[in-house]
Amino acid sequence: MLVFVNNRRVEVFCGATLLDVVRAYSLTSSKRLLSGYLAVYDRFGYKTEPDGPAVEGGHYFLRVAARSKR
Amino acid sequence: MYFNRILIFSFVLLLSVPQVSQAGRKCKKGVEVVILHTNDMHSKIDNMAKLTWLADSLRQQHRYLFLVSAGDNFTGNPIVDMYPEVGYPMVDLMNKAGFVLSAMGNHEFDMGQEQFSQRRKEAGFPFISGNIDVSGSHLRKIRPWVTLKAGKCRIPLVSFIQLEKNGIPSSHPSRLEGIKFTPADVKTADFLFLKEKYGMLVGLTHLGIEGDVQLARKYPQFDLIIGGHSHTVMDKPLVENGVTIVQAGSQLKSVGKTTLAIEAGKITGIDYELISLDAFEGRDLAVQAAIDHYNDNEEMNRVLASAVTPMTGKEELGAMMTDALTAMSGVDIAFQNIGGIRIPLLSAGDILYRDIFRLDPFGNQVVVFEMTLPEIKSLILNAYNRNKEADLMVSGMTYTALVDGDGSCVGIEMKGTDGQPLDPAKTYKVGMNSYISASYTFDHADPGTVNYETTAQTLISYLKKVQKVDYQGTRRTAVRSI
Repeated sequence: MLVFVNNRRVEVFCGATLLDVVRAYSLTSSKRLLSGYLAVYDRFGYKTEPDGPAVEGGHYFLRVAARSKR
Repeated sequence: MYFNRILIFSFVLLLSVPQVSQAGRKCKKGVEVVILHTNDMHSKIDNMAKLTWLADSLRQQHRYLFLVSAGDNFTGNPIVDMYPEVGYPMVDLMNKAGFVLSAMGNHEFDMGQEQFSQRRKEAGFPFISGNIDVSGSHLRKIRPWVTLKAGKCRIPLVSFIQLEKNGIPSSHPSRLEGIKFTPADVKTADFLFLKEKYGMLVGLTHLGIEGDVQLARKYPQFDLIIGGHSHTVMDKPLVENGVTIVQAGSQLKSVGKTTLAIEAGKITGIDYELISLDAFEGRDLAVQAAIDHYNDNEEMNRVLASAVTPMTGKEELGAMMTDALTAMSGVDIAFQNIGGIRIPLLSAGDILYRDIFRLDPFGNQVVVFEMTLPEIKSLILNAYNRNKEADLMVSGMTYTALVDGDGSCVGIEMKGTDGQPLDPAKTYKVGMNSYISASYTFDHADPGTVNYETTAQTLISYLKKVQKVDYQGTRRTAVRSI
């Protein structure tokens, strides 16, 4: 299925979690996501847990997690 | 003529007076109702003592407090998922915490209909959903809605479950036999009478935030939608088409607290806050003792199968892991990356449940692709070149990586289990874990589909079936310099 991470197209298998999506986008980013440095936000601006399901056509954004901001 | 005019005037007057529902007439006195809500707890039990303590504390301050779940209570913690009565620890702890209601989530089906029927009987709360028809299955009827009673006011909560493109929730189809599903936006019309009858309407849904937004756009009759499924951490509500939408993340890290002000049978105010349980100190000691008991239980030390000989090294362990996929997931060929094999050896003798979660602790799911031989070759070749080693262990075939002077793989020779070349005209069903599927580069026209089983669960099913394994000396990959 097709999703978008930081407005870039990412092809991933049907039923993928957001962690899978971020792995497909960038393995380095997925490690930062797991470490808690980065977080995934949805198109409404809400943080979404990495174990959540990705939605076909969904737009997701990787940002520095709020608690990591100084 | 004069009489007719009076009659018409009276009728117009009647229409112009705001309609007060039957419930509204009873529910005159203003009440405050607190709904504490979780979603997508996924068997994560460790914060349940904190939730219980919080709920009890709030009950002392609020006369009408209800603890509810927006679904997906199960799947995600071996302590709960591998319990002999699958899922029982979660139900027990939800009972102790005082849950009064749960939506049906797609993972409620994971344990199978028979086990879920038993858990429903044990639960001190109903599971509801308005778009599930179980009349052709072994499950007893699932109620679409319930009301929460606060004094003379009744608050109707109706529930809906998400459906994928194939018309069923995200669960293995074999677990959904005999069950029919209807899209939420179609079924909602059947329940709008609740708004007229009770003067208010709350959704307790498992649709994900996108589904909740669609529902709100189509049905502004909802006052509030308490959602789940997308694991969205909503620190503030989303208001769409006048409908307030809330959701509280996942894994019981947080709980949502939504306070309703009800006046004259209508919701006149909604206040929402997200409370972090991770940062919370208070805990109910009795519930904590129950959690400790479950976490310390001996169930994970149960014997699953026996290893005739020790399995040393990733070839032998990888052979067992991939054979589990070909045997249990209906695939021709299966792959396992060596980075996902987390123990160096498995001794001869008893194989315990605990061993499987040490060997494969990641909770990766099985993904199935239809692949041609060139596509399979591209997967193996690219995997080799990640670290210049045979990265993929395999079942259903063997391969030799052809390596040049720099150590780079430049070709792959593949053979079937019979030692003969694989059929170049055939499309093979290939299984692998979700980590390989997402992060490895390879050609594949088929995007792949998850089968909603983890690789660890698949291995457990395999070992239960075969009971004895012997992989000593198994070699399915080779490297040849050219």
